[in-house]
Amino acid sequence: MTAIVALLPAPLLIAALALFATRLRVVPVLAAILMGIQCAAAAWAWFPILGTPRRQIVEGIGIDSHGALFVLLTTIVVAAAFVHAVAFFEREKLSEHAPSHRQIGQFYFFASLFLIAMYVVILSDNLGYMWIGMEATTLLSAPLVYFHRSSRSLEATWKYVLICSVGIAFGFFGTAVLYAASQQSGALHVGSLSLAALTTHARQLPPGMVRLGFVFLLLGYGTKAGLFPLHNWLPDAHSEAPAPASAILSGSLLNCALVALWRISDLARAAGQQQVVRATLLPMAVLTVITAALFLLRQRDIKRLLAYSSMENVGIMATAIGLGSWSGFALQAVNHSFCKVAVFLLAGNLLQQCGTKNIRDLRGLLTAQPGRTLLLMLGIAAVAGTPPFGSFLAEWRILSFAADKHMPWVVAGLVLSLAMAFIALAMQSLDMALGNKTIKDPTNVRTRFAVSLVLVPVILLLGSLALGVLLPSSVLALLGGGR
Amino acid sequence: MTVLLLLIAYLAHIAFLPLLFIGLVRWVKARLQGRRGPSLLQPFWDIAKLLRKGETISETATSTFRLAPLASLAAILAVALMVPWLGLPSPIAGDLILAIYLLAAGKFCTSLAALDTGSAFGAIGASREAAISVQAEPALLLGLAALASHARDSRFSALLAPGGGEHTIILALLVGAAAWLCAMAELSRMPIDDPTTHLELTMVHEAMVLENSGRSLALIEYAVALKTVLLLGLVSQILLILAGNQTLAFHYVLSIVLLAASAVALAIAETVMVKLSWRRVPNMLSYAIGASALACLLVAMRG
Amino acid sequence: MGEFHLFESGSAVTVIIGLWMIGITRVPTSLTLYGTQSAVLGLMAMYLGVLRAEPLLVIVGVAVIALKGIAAPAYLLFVAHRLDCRRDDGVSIAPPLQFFGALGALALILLLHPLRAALPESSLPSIGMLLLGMIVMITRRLAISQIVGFLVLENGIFLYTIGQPHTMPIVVEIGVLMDVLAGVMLAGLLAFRISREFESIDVTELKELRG
Repeated sequence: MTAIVALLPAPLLIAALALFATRLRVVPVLAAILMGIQCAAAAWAWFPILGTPRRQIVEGIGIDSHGALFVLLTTIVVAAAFVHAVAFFEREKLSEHAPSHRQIGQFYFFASLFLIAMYVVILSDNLGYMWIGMEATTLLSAPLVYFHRSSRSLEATWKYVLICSVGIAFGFFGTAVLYAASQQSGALHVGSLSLAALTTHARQLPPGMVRLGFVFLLLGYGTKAGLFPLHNWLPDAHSEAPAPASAILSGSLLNCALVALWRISDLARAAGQQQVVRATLLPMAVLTVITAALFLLRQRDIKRLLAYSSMENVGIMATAIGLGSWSGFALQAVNHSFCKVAVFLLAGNLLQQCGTKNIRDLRGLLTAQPGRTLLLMLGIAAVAGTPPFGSFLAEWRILSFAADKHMPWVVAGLVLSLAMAFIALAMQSLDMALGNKTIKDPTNVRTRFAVSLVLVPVILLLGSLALGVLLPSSVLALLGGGR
Repeated sequence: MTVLLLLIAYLAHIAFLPLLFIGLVRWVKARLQGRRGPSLLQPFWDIAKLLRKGETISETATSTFRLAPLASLAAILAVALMVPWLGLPSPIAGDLILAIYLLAAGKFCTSLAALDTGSAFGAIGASREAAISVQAEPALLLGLAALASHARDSRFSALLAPGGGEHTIILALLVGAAAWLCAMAELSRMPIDDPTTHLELTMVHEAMVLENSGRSLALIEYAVALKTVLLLGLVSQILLILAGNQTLAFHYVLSIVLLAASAVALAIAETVMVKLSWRRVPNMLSYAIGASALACLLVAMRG
Repeated sequence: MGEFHLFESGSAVTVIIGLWMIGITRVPTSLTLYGTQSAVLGLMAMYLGVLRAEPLLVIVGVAVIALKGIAAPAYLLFVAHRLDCRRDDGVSIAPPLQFFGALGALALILLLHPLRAALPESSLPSIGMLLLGMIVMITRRLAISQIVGFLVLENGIFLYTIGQPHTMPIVVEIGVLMDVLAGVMLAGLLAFRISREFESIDVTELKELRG
């Protein structure tokens, strides 16, 4: 119980502070400090639970190792984004479209409440609470996407809210079906929404209803995760949001949806329905990776490029979920979060300096600012799954797991798309880096190097590198162990 | 013996009720508009006047034009004796398909006559009437077929029998709504057409009878009045399915009351509602087909 | 009326209203119809709560009538009035054809009942309403009509939940209601912004982000 309560005060305090943004100009700094405290609190409360098989349910909230990992990951991601945002918003105020204090205040207000909603999704044992939390994440992150108030971000927000709400409505239908199924089983005849109870009595649930409920829940939470064919909102929303928000969306929101998918496919497997999981989730996941790779080839906008790369990683993680490999999923999630957040933050810096997202307009970066460009390219390489970064190991684990399960099509599809994605990302980043430089006005204060702007990405990339180079079995055990 | 009594009863009502109905509609409409209006018996005097007048017939018209009013009146009269619109059993046992086709035959004769005169307005009216019937007739047919399916019999006496089963309420309401919309369409009433309009380009039925005068106009006016009472009587009977079993006399009284109520409803509709633009008429009529189709669906699911 | 008859008649009425909405092009009319549909569902919930002796269900029914039957349509009517959008002509298919298409799809589902193994027949109306909601969303051009389609979808799901012998815990039901309404408010705000930005709330105008 203390573990849950420990997570609440810092975000709520940030939200309260953000309401007075017009008068307090130090909100970003205070928010970053509070998120640091939040990291410490989360680590103190949840680190001991990592790796233990203990599972405890308190009022519909489950406290177990799987949830602990993602709570910690989410907290780290949001903290990183907030810390970077301090310097980022400082620079942003010097640009042409300077955000007003009210906008920045709204950003922090909604982002902190968004964090709490994500905690609810990750930790819920009750399917109803999970749904409420998921819908709340959609509604609370919409203002983040709409931060810039332009027509493009408006369009992105509209599509985001509409598509995700419709998808989640289908997810609620799936929840209702599972509830009805529980009413027809012997022990739970009054019906139960608790995942733990449903899993214990899984064999007694009517199989047809479990299958139907699973498919609808897949439709629902799959929309939130960005699986094909419900992915239309993902590139728009992630590219139009400001850099810290994109980082949070890609780095933690997608994980929440995937955790929800993991829990329900676990339930389906416990009920003996792994066939439907293999038949629906797995093809959707592989198709997601292939589609993302295909789209990656024609991108002209750097943030859209990264958004499609997120979609590709979601597909890989969903494949892991479909195959039933927790360690593959968790490892890929951790690596993806670290790398993607780093790259989004770096891309945000680039956008701030050059004022354009168009790759064709950004040329010769290597000659203009060699250090930062190298960092960006390393980040993109990490995201694409290059050794020695951790994503390579994670993807390798998933591929070998798929091969062990005798699924040649999955392996072939994944390998092909990963190769295509790597080529696309390499092409685009080399396009940006090489050639004659086109950045004008190099003495502008905006293009000056600042350590604060690259500190967080560097730390995150080093973390991913560490996960790729040294992966002691103790770390694997912490991630939840097993296959 | 009973058949003879019923025949006499029906003929008596057919002689007086239609024109009285039209008179009632006009009287209520006048009162709603703040006028005193013509007396209830005015339609009788109008028909009498028209019967005394001579006819002017276009030079291009053939015998079709002369015979059409008689043919349509004959068809409508036959249907009026087949459908138990009064609440009493009909003298001739009518089948729903025969009734609808007879009505269509009457309409066909009128359309032919309108085309026969060679007048452009007649042609407009005839084509519009045909366009409306494309949607209105299937709606009525489907609706009555749903009722027939539910009753397992296509004769009117069985169709409109107060039914058992818990779905009769929704069935009757759906078919009643469809039949009302079809009635409005077939009779060229609001909101599909304004019967008192003077603009030929907006007319549907009135355009067809522009060339008629004198005796044939009297026959046509009377035929339209009879058709009005017939179709609205049918709607009342469908709604009376909900009332359950009663004695014959009570059923008859209720039918007359409902007819009067529909006259008032008609008058209110024509005072309050605005005529639909011609492009939107199919949208309106699709609801009639939709309601009938839903009724059929209900019967198909529940038997 | 027995519980089953009430449920059947009530769900038939809601499906008929849903079907009616598909042929409607005027925005205020479709909002009024949605309000009526929600009110019918709320009344059903209240009556079922009394029959099953579950007072919480009665409270949920009252909340549904107040919020989804009155407040949400009123808010959206206000938005429509401010944006001056009276008529939504839909996308390329004429309303009667949309209507017949929806009727045909509904008939297919009700007669063929593809999910026969998994769901009992009493949940067919809710699946029908899900379908109708999706059709409204797909065939409409104005942002407001898409919101209404989403709300009809939600109504279908609500119909399913009250059709079960034991209703969901009240926290979940109220939470869902609040979430949906918050979504509606947000969507209304966005519609205002879209109208200011693009001079109309025609969503086919939102085509800058492609690929």
